[in-house]
Amino acid sequence: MTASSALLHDGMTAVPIPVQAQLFAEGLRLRRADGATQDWPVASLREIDRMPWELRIARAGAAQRLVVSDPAMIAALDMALAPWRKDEKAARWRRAAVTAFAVPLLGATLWFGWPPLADTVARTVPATWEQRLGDSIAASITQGTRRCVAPQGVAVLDRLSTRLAETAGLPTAPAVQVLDSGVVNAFAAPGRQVIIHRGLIYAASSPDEVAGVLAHEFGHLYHRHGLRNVARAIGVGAFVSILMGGSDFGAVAATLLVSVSYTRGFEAEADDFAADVLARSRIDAEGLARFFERMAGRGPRGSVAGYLDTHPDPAERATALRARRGAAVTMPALTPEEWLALRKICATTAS
Amino acid sequence: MATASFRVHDRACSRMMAGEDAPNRDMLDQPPAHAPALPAGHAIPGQPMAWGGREGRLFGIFFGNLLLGVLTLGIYRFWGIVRIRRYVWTHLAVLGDRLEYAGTGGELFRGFLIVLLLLVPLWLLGIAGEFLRVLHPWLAVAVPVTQFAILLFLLAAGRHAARRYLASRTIWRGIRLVVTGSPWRCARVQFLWFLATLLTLGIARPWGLAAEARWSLGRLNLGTQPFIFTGRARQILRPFLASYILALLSVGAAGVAVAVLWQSDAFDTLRQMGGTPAPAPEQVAIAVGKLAIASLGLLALVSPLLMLAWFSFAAAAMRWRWQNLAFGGARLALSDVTGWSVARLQLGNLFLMWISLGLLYPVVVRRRVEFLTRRLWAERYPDVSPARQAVLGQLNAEGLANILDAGGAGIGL
Repeated sequence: MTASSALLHDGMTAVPIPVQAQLFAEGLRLRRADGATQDWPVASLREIDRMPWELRIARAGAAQRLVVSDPAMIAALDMALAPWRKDEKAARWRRAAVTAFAVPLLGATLWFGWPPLADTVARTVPATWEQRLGDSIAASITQGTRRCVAPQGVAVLDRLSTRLAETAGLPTAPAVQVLDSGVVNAFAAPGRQVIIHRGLIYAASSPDEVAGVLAHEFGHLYHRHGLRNVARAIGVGAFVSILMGGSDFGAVAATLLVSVSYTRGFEAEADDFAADVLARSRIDAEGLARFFERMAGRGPRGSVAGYLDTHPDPAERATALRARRGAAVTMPALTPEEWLALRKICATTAS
Repeated sequence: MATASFRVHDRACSRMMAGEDAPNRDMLDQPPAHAPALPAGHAIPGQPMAWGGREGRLFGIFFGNLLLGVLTLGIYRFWGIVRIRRYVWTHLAVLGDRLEYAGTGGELFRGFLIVLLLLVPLWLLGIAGEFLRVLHPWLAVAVPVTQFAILLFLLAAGRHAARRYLASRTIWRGIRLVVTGSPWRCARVQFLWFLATLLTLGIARPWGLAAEARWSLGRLNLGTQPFIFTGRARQILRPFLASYILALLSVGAAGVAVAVLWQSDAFDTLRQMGGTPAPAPEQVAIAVGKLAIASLGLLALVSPLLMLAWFSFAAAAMRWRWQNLAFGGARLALSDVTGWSVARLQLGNLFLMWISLGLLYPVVVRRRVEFLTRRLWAERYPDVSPARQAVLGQLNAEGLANILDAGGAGIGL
């Protein structure tokens, strides 16, 4: 074909060199004004970018660039570049296929591989550190809310928790305290701390229900769920925010989603533990089961919402508990007098 | 080729008329055909950069990236960044020739993995700190401070490494840009200036800025031909002191006003709330109302003054950076960069990102680029004939700055 003018960047200087470009079957011949020529084989042609009015090409592996703006020449080069473009497209599809295979694999490895790893890390933390951490967490949570300290109620609660803790074989004596708050909630902080809200004791219709909740929280202590949860959440949070690049909405949502699913596993484990401890203490697990059902009946709204959020479906939990109930003879967890004293634990409060 | 400007508009227009592309006012200007450097006697100021990109295309790339990012658990991010950059670079013309971006997603990903290895010890230190602060009270201060210092140092090093990498992947007329200097030395200098600024309550800032500019603009080269930065701290001392004093006065005035409020009857009413006799509820309501109005008034008075101080200096520093930069015998300059225009750019971008939860990012990119291309002038057509391709060693990728969120689109040179 006929030669057309183009601009050559020679890869050594920044001053463009006008050339006459001519495309042959074997390659592209560039002729400078001084008559010097160079040939670029067709197989070595690479597209840098293609604008409607301009095509920039390079020679594979070289710093040289050719800027072509003659429409006829652009059309000719488009044809010459077609095989290379096709190869590039095929390579893109291959990469996409590999990614489609690798990403789910990576996701599954992280999803199932991280919890055992985090648990191993958590287990290396000395018990005394865990206890101090839990104590400081509990202190920051109880700060600003008054504690219920009526002596008779405290004595009953201490007796009940000592009895359950001994049966459960907790390594450290638990520190159980009641907060003067109407929220129906109870939780365990790492180490030995269990905090019960007054609302939960009022919502319970029998001492067996409170004993059941207590045994459940002791399950969290026994399995070191608090610390393991911290270890898992730190890893998930770090992974998600690093990968998503910063603290955006997606990262927060993903972290929440993953930790909720982990927490549910912990809840089931604590339920199992409670069923076992209650049976060995000759307390009827029916109390805990009924408590869960009542929570379900109160629906997701109101003060119960907080208790249900990260927990599995209460009806299922009740069914699972009943399935594990033994036929052994059981006794109420507390005498009627003791139960009355416990319900009045908030008659005296302290800050 | 003695054109009045480096942009030659009529050729672009004739091509649009010929129907080679849909008519679009953002149409990229055509390069002046192999224009040689103008002889010094014929030097005429011109605008060296032009943006020919379209926001719509940027949105297309951006949303594609978003979708693929979700599908690949975020790993696509690195390839997405490259697609955005490639579009911006190839639609940004310097002296009529469009830039070329030669970076790859794989490079960014590898850089990211290397940085992860650097950050893991720091991250572990942070977790250990959470526990250690329970054991010893003084560790609660020492651990975060150490962590912050290390992070600051790494960030400074990472920013220079990112500049080096980004320059080496930017090609103009077949010649790669080069940024010289060790990132660790850069970090040491920046860290010392940070400490000096802290210890002098900010007074050392102009000298810190000058050091920063020498390390960024002053080490930039086109191949072997350097950009020359001649800025001195004393040139921005006056605008700095003006802003500094204005900020001090407004904060001082705010302090006095708070002290006056503290002594006021309204505050006395609130202080009596716990005691006996407790004030009547309507008295409390009136006191709270008075205090709210007073503090809102104070805020409305002080924050514009602080913003005036901040942005007027930011604009002065920006003008100073570019005015003291020269390339190929041509000095550069920014026109129409005032405190107001900088505030409009930066606050506007923040606002756009905020209302859209980041979805208007392409608009922000376009605004940043256009801010520079529309305001940048060169006193003459620079002589680029001394530039030669530089031979480069291995370069670290820019992962560090990226992961620490300092990278952004990396438009500002």
